[in-house]
Amino acid sequence: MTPEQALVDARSCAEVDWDAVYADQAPRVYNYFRFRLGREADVEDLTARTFERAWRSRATYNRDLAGFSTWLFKIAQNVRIDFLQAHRERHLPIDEALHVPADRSPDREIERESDLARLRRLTQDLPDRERELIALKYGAAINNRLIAQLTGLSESNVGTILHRVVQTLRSRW
Amino acid sequence: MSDDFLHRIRVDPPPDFLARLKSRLDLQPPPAGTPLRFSRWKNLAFTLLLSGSVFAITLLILNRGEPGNAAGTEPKPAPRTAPVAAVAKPTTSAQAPAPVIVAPSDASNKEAVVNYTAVTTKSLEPYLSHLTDAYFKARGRAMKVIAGNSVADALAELCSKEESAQSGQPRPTIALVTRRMTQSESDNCLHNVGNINETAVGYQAVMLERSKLYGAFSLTPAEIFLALASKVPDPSRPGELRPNPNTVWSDVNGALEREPIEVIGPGGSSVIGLAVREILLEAGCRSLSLMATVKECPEIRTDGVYTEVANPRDIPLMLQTRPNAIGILPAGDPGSLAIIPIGGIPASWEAISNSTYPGSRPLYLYVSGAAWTQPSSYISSTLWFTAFEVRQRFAIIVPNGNKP
Repeated sequence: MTPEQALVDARSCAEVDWDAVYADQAPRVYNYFRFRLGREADVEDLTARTFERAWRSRATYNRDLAGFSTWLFKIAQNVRIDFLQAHRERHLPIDEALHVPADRSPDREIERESDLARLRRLTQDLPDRERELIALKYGAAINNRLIAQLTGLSESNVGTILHRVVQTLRSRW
Repeated sequence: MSDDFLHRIRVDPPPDFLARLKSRLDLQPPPAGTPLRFSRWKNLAFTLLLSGSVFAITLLILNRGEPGNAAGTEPKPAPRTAPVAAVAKPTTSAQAPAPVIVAPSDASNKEAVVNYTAVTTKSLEPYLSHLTDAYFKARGRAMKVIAGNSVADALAELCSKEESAQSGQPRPTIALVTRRMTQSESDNCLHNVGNINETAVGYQAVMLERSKLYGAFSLTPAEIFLALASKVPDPSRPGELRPNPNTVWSDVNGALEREPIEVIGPGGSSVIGLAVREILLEAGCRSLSLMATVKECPEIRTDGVYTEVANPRDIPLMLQTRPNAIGILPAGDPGSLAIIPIGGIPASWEAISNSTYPGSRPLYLYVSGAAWTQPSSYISSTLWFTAFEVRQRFAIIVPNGNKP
């Protein structure tokens, strides 16, 4: 049983294994911000903000309205929007952000950051919606159904757009 | 490049970051049970609809064929009406105001007769005028509404000894105000006018709401003032004000989140906007010691932090699309939004009716003349009849039990 399923099945908030939920969701949220923003300090900050808001509002989370992942990633999306609005004047343009090195420097991570930097350079011309789909699909590793709930698109539309975007990226790579 | 390649770009978050964040989250209290809901509003609304309809039909039957001000057709006074000034100086029907001819206002170009003159405060003037239009005119009557600068002014006008020489209007016989008469005001009325009937007609109440995505946090009136006022006290120069520099809630109070202040509410000159100013902002303003020497509390800021909305019914939808924003609405059912407590007290019927909710104030109707109770009944019945509309347009709630 996944933590998400355990959360759905729990009869009350008190019965939820929040440690398991955290362990499952934290890497997803972290990578979502990493795909969207890139700078590690911001990624950690926004991941922390997302979880602090979610944890503070756990009692108000209504399982009848949305799955926990949907709720959590909606918070993450709003945190990102707020961050960009509040820091617009000192937010680095995406091209500059790509050159900000990561603090950690194992070889493999450098390679991954390089791949990520290259990916972002290729996606910067895409509409924001397509970049959001990429971050949710490959950063947060969530399924098309959940992405559809988060973006307001139909599930089939999400699949179609993602397929087209990957084809485009492949041709440019 | 493929799906697998894109997935492989993911990394594990740094373990020390995950551990630090987890330890911070563990400090938060465990989730409580389901928050209290505002369920009584629906019951109240249904009761109001049913009772209002019954009363309106009854009143219609009672008033059928009413020739005018005939004493024999006067409705009975409201049961909850209590005499404030003692009946030491009994009034007679002769004390009812004489009709005054005013400029024609209807399509027939006939001169309208002002049967009654009512006084209220500026913030309630549109509401009282609305009552006039909605009920008095429809029944072939007219009510002249005048506005005082304050409750004290309005009550002084009601209890004045002589007719107002400036306006040339007769002394008002009705007052709708936002607080109860003081003992000295009551004594003054008793001396100058005689009987004054008091009716607690309802409440004017607003509430703060936000998308449930972010959950609710409590705000005090002082914090609301510091967030929304165009000018705030300058800590470096006591007694002086400076343009409001607060852009995030943590600027207002370090204990609040570092989230942008974004508030959506009614227009500043609307009835609800004036109520927000008088109920919340002025209360917050006067609670600050640094504002003690400032004569007038500042207006709502106009630098974009506060978004004015013409129709409050649009606010819930706007909050759904801007989940970080806080909305100021007439108190009522929060629907799918989360109520933000004011001073730690969430808006609820219980808190409003027992006067513990800082976002509300009572409404009192005073009518002079012991035998002259018709206007009181008319206004009370109109409050019932228009209960739903007045809540949306004027943030006024008619409590259960106000049946005339």
